[in-house]
Amino acid sequence: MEWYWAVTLLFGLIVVLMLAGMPVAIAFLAANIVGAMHFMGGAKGIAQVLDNGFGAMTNFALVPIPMFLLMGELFYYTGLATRMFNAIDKLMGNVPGRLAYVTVAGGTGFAALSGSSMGSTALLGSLMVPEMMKRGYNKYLSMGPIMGTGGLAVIIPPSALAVLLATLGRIDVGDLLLAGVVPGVVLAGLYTALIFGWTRVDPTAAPGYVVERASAAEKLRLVALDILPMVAVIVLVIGVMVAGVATPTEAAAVGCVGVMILAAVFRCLTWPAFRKSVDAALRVTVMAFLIIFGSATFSQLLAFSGASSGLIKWATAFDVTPLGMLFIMLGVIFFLGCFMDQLSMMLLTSPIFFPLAQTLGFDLIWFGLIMLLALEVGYTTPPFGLLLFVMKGVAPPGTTMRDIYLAAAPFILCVLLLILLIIFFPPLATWPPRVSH
Amino acid sequence: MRRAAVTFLRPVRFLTKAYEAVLRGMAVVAGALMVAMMVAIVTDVVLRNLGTQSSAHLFTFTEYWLLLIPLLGAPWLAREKGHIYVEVLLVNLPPAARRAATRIILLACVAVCAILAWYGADITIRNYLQAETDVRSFDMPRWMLMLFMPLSFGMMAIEFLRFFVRGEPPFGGGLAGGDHDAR
Repeated sequence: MEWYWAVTLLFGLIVVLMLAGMPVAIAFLAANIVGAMHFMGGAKGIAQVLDNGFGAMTNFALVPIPMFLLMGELFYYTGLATRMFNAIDKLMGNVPGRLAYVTVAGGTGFAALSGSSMGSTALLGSLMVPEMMKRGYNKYLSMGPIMGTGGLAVIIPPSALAVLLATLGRIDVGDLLLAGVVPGVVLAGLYTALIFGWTRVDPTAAPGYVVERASAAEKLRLVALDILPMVAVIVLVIGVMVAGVATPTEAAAVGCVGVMILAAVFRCLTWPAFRKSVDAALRVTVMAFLIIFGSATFSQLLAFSGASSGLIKWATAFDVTPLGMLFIMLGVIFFLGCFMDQLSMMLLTSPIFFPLAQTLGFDLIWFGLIMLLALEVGYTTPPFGLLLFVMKGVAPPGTTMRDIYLAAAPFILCVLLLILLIIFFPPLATWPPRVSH
Repeated sequence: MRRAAVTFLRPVRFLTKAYEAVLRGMAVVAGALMVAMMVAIVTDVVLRNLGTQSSAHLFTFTEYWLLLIPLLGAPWLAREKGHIYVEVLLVNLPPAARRAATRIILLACVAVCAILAWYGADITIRNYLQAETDVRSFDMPRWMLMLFMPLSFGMMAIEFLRFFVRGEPPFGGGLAGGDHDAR
């Protein structure tokens, strides 16, 4: 079979089954069965699918996924997240557009700790939007920052998605996590600048209201009690990694225990909170792992059928500069993001994109970070970006999809700007991992 | 006649209850393994930094748990409608067409899971007969791990079949699983 027919069969089958409403994991497995029957010698091939799944799953590099998820859920269910929000809210004082800033600041913290843009959007949406609407905030300024901070979750360590991408692309997990630190801060800065500009140009977008001023002593207490301990957990995770106390994979488990200790100190580590956290983390872990199980054979089938090498040869035969090729790859992710979740996009594109990036001579850590950001943009691309629907789910009644698109647009532009910054100024991403070495 | 029906239904009810208990029990074990993983890794890190060497088996067990967690949890997640899916086309279909499409997809899901359960059972039996081992820090009989594949896929096939018989879609209100959406 020619490579392009193999590509059409394998990708086509998955996309058709997914669009038909088959659970993503089962769609991958179905394509694997058909592909294995065809390319791997019939029934023997199906046994190979299961053997590959065995090999792919019993891999220590996957540990951070359940651990980071558990860490985020514990942070949420024990009430530590809300505690941090309230503290930031009080600290902000009477700044115009303060609730939007609270969203960005609190969202950055929560996103970092939860590592899930969907969780972060759902939490912030239900927590902040009603409050902002009540205060007369314009709906775009209410919802935009929330979808924006979702984007921070994937790049600021600890990020479960970054770990997975590093595993798929066979790059150093710790390096990719560290590479996200500076761009994450830059992105939060871009959001802040955007809100600042927005409230200056259109003060009616965020009507001012008087809040009770906290005294200096109270502010100090808030920082010491409600903010620093949460920041300490992030520092702990990155710290043990950089100091070599634990490997990046192990750091996730250390962070988990860190949040538990913190919750115990604040006396909010209850049995119901713990049970709910494990339950929620287990759901996402099982869902994600089952997709990885299916994808293990998928990338092998791509290689086996000659689809990977054929596609790469074909793509590099064009007279396109490496930069042009990078933009094409980004375009593919943005397109896929219209109807797919980040995990599926990543699993579909990594087996082709990483070898291609290597052929083009890209720094794979730099490329991995750009890909993570692109995945996030894809997630918020109209008309079907999944994050937009999550937002719709928690937005006040009467909010149309058009409102949500318009609210997300300026923040998506910020992420695109950051992607361009990283492309043209690579040290932004490559400097922290280099320093740590 | 009625007595015969009752006598027939009694073991069926017992089996259904036992199946439910196994389904939930497997999920509880999966959750417990996740917590055990956290404890094992942190213990290992602490011991190592204190200068003591912990058991290499801890590492191997953690790797095996990574396989067992999704396999033990998957049938429960199917029951809880937690698997991720793309709903774009389905929601835009008229109700009758949506019901028909859902049924076809459910049958396809049953087929995929049943095929994998069948071949999983085949590998497990072969691994057992040939006394194959997975060599890591110790030699683990491979069939003991592979056994969970036919179990998990078989139970998932039952779950999808259950939805098919009831004419119920296998997905809830959420878009992407997890209860984040419900928050």
